[in-house]
Amino acid sequence: MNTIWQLTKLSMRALWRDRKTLLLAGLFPIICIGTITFLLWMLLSIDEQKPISVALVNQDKNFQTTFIVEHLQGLEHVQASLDIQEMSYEEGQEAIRTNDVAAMMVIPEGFAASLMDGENRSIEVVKNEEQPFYAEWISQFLHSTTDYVTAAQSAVNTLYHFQNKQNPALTVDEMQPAILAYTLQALKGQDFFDQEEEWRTDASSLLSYLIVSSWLLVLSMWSILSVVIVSLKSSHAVDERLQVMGVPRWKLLSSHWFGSIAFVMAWGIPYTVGMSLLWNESDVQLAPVLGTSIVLVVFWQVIAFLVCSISRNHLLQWVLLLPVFLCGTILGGQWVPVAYFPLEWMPILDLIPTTWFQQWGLFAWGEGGEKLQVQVMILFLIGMILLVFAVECSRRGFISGQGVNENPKTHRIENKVAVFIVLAVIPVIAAQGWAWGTKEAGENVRIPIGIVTEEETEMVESVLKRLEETTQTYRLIQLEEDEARRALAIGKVDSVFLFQKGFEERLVNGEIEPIVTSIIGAGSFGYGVFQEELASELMRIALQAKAAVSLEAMEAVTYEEAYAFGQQYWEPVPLLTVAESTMEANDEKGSEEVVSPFSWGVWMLSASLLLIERSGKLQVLRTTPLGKRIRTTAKGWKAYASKQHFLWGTGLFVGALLLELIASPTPFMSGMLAFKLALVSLFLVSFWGSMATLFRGKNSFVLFASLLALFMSLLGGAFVGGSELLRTVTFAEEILPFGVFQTWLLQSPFLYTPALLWVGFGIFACWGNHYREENRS
Amino acid sequence: MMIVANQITIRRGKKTVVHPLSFQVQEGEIFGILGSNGAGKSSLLATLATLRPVARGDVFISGHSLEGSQKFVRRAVGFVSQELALWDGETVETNMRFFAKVQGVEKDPQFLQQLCEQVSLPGVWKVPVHQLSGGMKRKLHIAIGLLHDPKVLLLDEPTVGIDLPSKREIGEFLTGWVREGRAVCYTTHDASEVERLCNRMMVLAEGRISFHGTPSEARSVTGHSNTGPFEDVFYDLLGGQYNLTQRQTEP
Repeated sequence: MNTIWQLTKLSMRALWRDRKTLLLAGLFPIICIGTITFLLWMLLSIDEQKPISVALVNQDKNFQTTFIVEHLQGLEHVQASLDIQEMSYEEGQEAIRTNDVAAMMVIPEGFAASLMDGENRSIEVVKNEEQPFYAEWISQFLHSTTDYVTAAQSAVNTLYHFQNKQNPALTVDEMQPAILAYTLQALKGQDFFDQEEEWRTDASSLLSYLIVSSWLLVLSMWSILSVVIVSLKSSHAVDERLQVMGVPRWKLLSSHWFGSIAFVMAWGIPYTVGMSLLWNESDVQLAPVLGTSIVLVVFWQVIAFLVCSISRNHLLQWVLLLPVFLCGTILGGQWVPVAYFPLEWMPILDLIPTTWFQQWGLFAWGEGGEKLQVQVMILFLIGMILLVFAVECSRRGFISGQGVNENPKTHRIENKVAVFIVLAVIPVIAAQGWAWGTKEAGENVRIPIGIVTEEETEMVESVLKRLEETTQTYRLIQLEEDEARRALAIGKVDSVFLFQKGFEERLVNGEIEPIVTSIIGAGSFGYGVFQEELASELMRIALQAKAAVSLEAMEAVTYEEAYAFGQQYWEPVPLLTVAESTMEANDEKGSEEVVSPFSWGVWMLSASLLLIERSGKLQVLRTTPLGKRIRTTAKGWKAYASKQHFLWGTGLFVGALLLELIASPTPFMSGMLAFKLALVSLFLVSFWGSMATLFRGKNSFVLFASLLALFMSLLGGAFVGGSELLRTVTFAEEILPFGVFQTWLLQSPFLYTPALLWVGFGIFACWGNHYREENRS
Repeated sequence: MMIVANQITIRRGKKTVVHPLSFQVQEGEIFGILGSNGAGKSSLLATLATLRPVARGDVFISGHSLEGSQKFVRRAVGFVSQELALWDGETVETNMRFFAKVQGVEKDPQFLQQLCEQVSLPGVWKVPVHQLSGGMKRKLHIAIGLLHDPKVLLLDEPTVGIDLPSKREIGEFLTGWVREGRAVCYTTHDASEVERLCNRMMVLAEGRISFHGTPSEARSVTGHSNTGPFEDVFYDLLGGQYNLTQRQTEP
């Protein structure tokens, strides 16, 4: 233990003397976290969930239709989901073209009169192709409205059938006012519902999450870097000498680990105190975040040690660390809240330790800590196993760069075919993976609704079954009440519908009274349309029952007989239908889904190129005839533009074209866009590569690269106002490949955050490599 | 015999860096290993220092097997790597004390200072290492290797990048040190230094012995006169014109 302490002490003293390390380690986190927090604040205010805009064209202008429209617009729960804007047909078309509305609903002229005459009329819904999910949602909303009419129609049908038996002279026309009366009655559908509000993760909690998450991301990254830095700073020769002196490898490894932890703490503690002061005003609970931070630091350091131990060289270290870091943090819910993942992923996410903290609400309001004891123990156990494995691997001699191959020939990237392929396909895989993910998500992700039933009856089951069949944009999850409230609070479900006890009994009486409780929270968004769906379904039963009760009162038939008859004609030929059509919008939002990850991938690749370049992999290597010293010479712009440039550039170009090929069936990818992507890729790679070549070996490199990253962020639209200003006052839009720079950062905070972090990651890595070169020399 | 290597093979990953070879180093002997880059010199030395495993064959150092008695071998061996294994920001004193403590050698500061003086490093006890010249750093590097009074000193290019006076001083020290019944095994690119210091030498080319014998034997087999530069001899030996492996590797 004494040896470990002595070694750690000397390592730390060496680090302390290195002012550059301390400055960078101290400065960079605050730049990162400060920028991220500021931008998140801005972006969240932009990305706040708003009701979906829908155009309503009322060509009828009849008082009945006006009454129905006003009624719909006045419903609070509908307002939560939909922003219904009345406009003319032409205005509606224009709104779709500009992607301002998800769909247009058109009530045709003479609509109410046709209904009164018993003629079948359709409400036209024009869907925006660019917003298929929301367009479908609106269509579903309209269907629920028509379902009201159908419900009324069905009930009237029953009435007519039995009354006609008693009075054969009764005509269909005579029944039409009854249909309208029943339809208007149906509009009371909302009377079926009680409403409760629960505490729920809202925008401010999301902001808390994002701030905490960003902090944890920075911390995770720094934990890994600290291992690498301490490993680089520690002398390989000292390690070897100590080994010959009989110091076991585990002691060396431990001293490196302690050194790394001390390094993280050296800047981590002051910043955490600073962050706590900053968070004091917010909802963030400091204690659990600190607890999580400690676990994460240890977790990532163990991973980093493991990877460093099994890597044969630094390049491989980064190649291995990168996917581990990306997968770990993405699946760990550090980029996107766990609740945002498709529900099918939940079993996988439940296995990832870092999601436990989030899923039980530890981030948001500090609860659930007591549940984590077992998991923390498991995490600790996993860490220990990995550490033992790392120690075992280190026996192979790969720790702290011992495995670095000094042979100049094998330094070159083109000789590392596997590494080259991995790096070259990252952008394509990232882009396609993301596109696939979002496409899948678009198709499969439905708005999750929690269902709680206080009584299990056939009617409840049949209502739920019918809802599952008809509601394509919702996913119904049956839960216990406690579970459901919890799920609502952490955002796993949008809202909860509780079928009260006595549901069936009250419904079959034909009375319209509260039998379902809708439980919503701040930010609940999709419940409005679902409530309409459910209401129409309940109304169908209620109106059938009402008809049966009326018939029984008139002594025309028994209740059971009338109700059973109504069941047979459950779905009469609808009087009111919805005619659907689609319209294309001239918007590149969809394209951004592919462009953003692609450009992000390119940035990653460029940064990796930068670090490879910095570490000398792409330099011309010379050896003296009999001496061992390796000299490096800059290749210069011309040389750089030849082989390496060609290799990387061509790889990206082909990658972009492949992407076009793969993604062409999707509506958001066009040939021109792919070409643009390819050009931008070339530009980015050559830009970073050239910069790396130009500034190789210069101490001002880090400062320059930081400023450059800041500038690129500014140009790329990270600072929204600045970018807007830039676009307005200059001709930047003309010369910049708009749609890449802009979307890279503007699309969502989840994309730009890792990108910015990655740039930092690359710079730090380059800087570390620079030091390694210095140590070698 | 201080070092007995019998048909040893060394591998790095799948690649064989040293093909089966045998050699011996006796008490009071300075044994030089020469070779071009990548010939396997450093790998061989690292293996003798217990840092790399032996793929095949046996090695005995001071009578202890490298395989079975690593602990005893490490006590008998002092290793001085090519890369400086020093705490650059610390003083000479801190470095000496730290490594003495790690080695489990509780020596008083006076002894440690004397050791520094023995390697021609006087008056720098309180000086930070980064303020020392390249030659001084090398000497300190060697002094640390001698802390536990080893029987065999393994040096990997100890005189690379230092001035002539320092080279001479290190040479003189090593010559005096082996007289006390110890042995030195070291790698170098400096052919003239080998001729001046070494009792015997071995030339490696691509992991195989291309010459094994005394410097004067090297001159005679290559046909170079006694007055010509030894670099020419070394150059000829590197070319593999004098494949004496078969004769020399037999124990």
